[in-house]
Amino acid sequence: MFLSFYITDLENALVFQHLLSYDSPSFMSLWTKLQAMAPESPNEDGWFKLSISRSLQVYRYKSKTSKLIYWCLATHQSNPLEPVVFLEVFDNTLLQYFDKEHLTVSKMINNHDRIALLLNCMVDSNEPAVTDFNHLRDMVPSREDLSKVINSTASSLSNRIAQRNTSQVFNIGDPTKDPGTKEKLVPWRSAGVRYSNNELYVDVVETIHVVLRKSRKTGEVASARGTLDGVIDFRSHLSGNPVIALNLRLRGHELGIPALHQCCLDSYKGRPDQLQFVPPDGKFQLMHYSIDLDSLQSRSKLFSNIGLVSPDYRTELGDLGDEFEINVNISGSQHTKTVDDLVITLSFEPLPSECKIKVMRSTHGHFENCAANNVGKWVFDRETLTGTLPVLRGCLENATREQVRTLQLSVSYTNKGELPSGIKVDSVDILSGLPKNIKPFKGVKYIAKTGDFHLR
Amino acid sequence: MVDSISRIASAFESARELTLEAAAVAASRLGESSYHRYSQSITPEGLRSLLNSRNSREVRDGMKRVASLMACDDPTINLESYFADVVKNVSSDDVKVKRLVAIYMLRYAEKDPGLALLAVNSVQRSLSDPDSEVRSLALKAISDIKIPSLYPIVLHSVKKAITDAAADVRCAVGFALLKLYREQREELTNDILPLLQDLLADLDPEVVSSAIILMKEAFPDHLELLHGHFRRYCGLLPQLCEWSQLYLIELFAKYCKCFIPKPILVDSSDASLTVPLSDDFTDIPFAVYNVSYHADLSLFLDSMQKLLHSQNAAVVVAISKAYFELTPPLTFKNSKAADALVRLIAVPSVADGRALILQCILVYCAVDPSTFSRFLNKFFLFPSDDTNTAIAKLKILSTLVDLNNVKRVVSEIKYYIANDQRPAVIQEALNTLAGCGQLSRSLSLHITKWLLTRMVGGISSASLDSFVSVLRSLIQENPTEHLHTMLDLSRVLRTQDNLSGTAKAGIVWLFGEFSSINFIICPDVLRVLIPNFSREPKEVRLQIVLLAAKLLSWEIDNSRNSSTEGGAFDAENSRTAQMARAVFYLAKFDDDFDIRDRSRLFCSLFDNERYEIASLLLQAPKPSSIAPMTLHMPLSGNASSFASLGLDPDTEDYLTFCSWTFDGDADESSALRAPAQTKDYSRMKTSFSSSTFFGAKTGNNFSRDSPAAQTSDGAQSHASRDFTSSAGRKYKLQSLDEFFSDIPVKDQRKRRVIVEEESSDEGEISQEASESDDISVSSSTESDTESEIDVNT
Repeated sequence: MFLSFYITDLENALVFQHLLSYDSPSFMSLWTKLQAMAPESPNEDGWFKLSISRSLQVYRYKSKTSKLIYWCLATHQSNPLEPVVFLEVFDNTLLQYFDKEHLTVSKMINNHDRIALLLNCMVDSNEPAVTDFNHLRDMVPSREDLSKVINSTASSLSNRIAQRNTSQVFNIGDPTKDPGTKEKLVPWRSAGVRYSNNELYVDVVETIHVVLRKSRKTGEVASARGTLDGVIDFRSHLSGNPVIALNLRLRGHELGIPALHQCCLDSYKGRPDQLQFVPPDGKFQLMHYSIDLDSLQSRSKLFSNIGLVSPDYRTELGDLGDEFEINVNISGSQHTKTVDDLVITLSFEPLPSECKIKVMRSTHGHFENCAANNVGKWVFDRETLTGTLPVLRGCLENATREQVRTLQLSVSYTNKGELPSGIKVDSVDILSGLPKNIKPFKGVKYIAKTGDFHLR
Repeated sequence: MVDSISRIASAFESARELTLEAAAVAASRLGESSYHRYSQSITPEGLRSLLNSRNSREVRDGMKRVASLMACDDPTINLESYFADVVKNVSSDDVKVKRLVAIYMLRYAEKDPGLALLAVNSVQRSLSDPDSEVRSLALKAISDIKIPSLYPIVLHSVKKAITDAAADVRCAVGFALLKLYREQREELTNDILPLLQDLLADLDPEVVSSAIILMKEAFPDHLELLHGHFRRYCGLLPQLCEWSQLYLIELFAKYCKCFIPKPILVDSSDASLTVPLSDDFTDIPFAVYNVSYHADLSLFLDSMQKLLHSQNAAVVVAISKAYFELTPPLTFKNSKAADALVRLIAVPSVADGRALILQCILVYCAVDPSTFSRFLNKFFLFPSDDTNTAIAKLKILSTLVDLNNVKRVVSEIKYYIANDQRPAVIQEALNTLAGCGQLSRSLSLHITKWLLTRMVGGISSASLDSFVSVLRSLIQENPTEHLHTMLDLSRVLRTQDNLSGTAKAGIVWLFGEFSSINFIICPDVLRVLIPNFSREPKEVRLQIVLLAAKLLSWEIDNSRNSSTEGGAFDAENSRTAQMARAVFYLAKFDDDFDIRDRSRLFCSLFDNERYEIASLLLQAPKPSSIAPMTLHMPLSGNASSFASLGLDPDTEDYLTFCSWTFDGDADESSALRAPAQTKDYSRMKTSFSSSTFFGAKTGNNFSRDSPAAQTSDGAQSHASRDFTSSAGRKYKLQSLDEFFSDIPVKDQRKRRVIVEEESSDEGEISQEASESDDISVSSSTESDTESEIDVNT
């Protein structure tokens, strides 16, 4: 039973609150209570659940994309996971509703009324009620803002030009309700959706989480733990009730038990590469899969699946043995020319104050020292060409061989056009349900990102 | 040509990238922010006049301001004082304003019941609105007002709405009943139960969802209500809303234990050997076995399979729990529930509750490690895992570790101990390492050696304590093997000056314990410690006193055993006794009360030759400090069985479950679940079975093909809509309310310059358009409006 919801920024300043009864505490009083019970210390990572009394608990969920923290006050739940999941769903709903990559505090403050309305629909009699996004959007109609108008204009421009139909360039795509049909075909799709511009986009995003281990004796790099976390985001702006078939080329990867959107549960036949569904209107997460890299037997297979960038290092070089060299292999690719925002973070064990990381030579980018003397960042330009081999040579002044040997690297970058696993969308077909004579625009995008990418 | 077009297109693409940012800025300037500034500038008096305005746009602005004030916790403005101004807008035509008023009432109605009643009449009127959304909102709003005198009216409205043609309205009935039940439990139970039965019998999945929430919150023990619907719900499960899926799985798990016979285990080598599943999974008598389930139980288990793909983590956990409770380990292992759980925890987690999932896995592992043993790697840490997750993962590792994988685990854990900065994680990693050490003798030696080198290498004092306690438990496990380790430790004592007090005390204590195994090396340690006694920290001094007493006690015992006649102990010539006396003497002048007291105690023991008491006190065997990570079923109601796992208390509650109570035979149980009559209120609706899309395959699941009884049901339901028993329930304030609602709102839509306002105008138009269409579509509700008017006049 939920009692109240709060949204704060990362400094715990209130952005929004929604109290479900007169007795629910305001965030101010809750915060004082929390401060007394569990004073926040800056270097500790946060809790997600705290019992205030025997039957009262505060749950906290830090948004993964926005700089916001979601809170709720709930009475004892039989399933302790439920409030956390609900807050996560709430976060996703807001993102979808405002159609943003991330939410800002000002966006939230400007839309207090809408968030309250959404939450009012999502929670009834203090229990989770409607959380299906299309349903929510029908209850709380969303409003376009200018950036979205321009966004859709540009895409429709290129679309129209491609179709040589310039007369309709400025007919911006916006769902209009077909008043005749109020009946929903499937519970997750709004009834009577009609677009002047039919388009659908598939974004496949994979996040690389891999911990590589370099053997002290042989210098060979092997994986200690590796996972590719993949998400297929779908955005459909299609009239009527289309049935879509999405085929993937999995390249022999085992997707295990992927999480699927409700819309493909019914027709799912155990083949994640062949999905058939009636999509909800708008953006939604179709599938969430994870590929286990630990089960790959051979080393070459591992390295062909951890993306374009693979780092390596050598230590104890030079006369004094305090030098090190970092080699980064950015392999060439047919699908993308560059990797973006490549940053390699070097770290040593905690060092005495007289030690200092000093760079002697580097082929790319620049080096930034951090506040702690054992951490440094090798920051590349915004775009680095693929098929290059950047090298950085540096030394750790006044350090022993043992201290240099503790070098660890963590890598972060993004690239478009190619996934580390090599998974591709083979085809997106609309089987039926679309009004005649409509040829929707289809777009597919691949993005690779790094999460925990470490070499130790 | 094509080339140039594509070039133009790509130019647009890049232009779009550029303009997007500018647009975002511009949009916020033009639209929301400027509106927000305008909204902020509304004065308290201005707000009142906006709320009282006849212009719907102004009312809307006013309500937006009220919503924003409610959301920002501003103590300077007292929102309660606007109660009357806000509440009378409940009769607005704008659904958004209605909803905002409902939110306001939800929060403030209790405070001012008299004024809240003012709104009731117009809310009641919208209960018969042609738009189903307005009806469900009205039902929600009226049930949200927590005023006791209103409950009969709510109950009456609910009874009327339960036969509504629109599913959302019937869905709201479930929630309204829940609110009623929460306020007045006992008095209304008899009224609510039959209504719940009606809701449960509904054909619409949405309505069933709300009925299940009501059932789980209000009547979790009335499992017999599910008899007739069990089989239907199993098919319906994937279509329910995700929260109801969660609750239904938990309810069904309980149901199965009460009304379905236990699964029967059949030995696969000899089919004649059968045994019902016992609560304790560890005493299954067969190595390999097949399981035969009752048809209904296996129907339930199969229906959950598909939901393992759910995006809701709580659902997946609930399924795993149901499998864990209802099936033997073999089925649980084959159910793929483990795979789905592992998918949830595959990525690094940052304080987002994944630790709870891991704790569930930990319990499953503690009962039967083989289920998760193939996922060993998944429980290795990521650098960004938060503390709770890391600790839970390490605990799981210690349940999964065996002789085949121990090498990999040990090398990983060594890395965590060496590199992690968080004391709690290091502590847990050390415990896991100790668990690894218990697997074999050589490992134990290897690990203690490694721990010693790290201790000597100098580590932070916080984790040093954990090092010592792990060393202690390893040495205690197999003391004779560890002579070398002890010798190394004595060297550490002598040479290391930066040992923290607690660590040093721990080592000294360890020697006291070790004296029972190998007495010879211990007195020398005491000899080394005595000269610096006064400079040692308090904990160390206490331990030195204890060590001296222990050594003396052992020496006395040894000498009595060796001298056959059992002669008196020669205290004068014994070196140990002399050292002990020296220590006791030094302790007499100690600052610390406790140390003085101890030394006095030991002195009097030994001086009065109470050697038996001394040996009882000082030579008692100590339990191992590291508890084994295994659990024995049943977990029923006994929270202490989880103690060694260190779980979150809520997870403990969640995972303790009742034992199987059904003991009838299979046919008797099947007969219970004869399908009950269902109710279908959607005569005009097409079924949503989407058979047009997926063919007959899914169509079967939905069982929407209406039974014969349903038409008569529907007719009956519509007849009962003319029910008019709220007659006579009149309020004096009603005329005032009518007064407000009768004022025609002038349509003063002006052309605005602000972009935002225009766009929301459009929204309004489209909404109105859809509303007017509604009226033409649904003709059946018109008669209701008439009947309502009859009542009121």
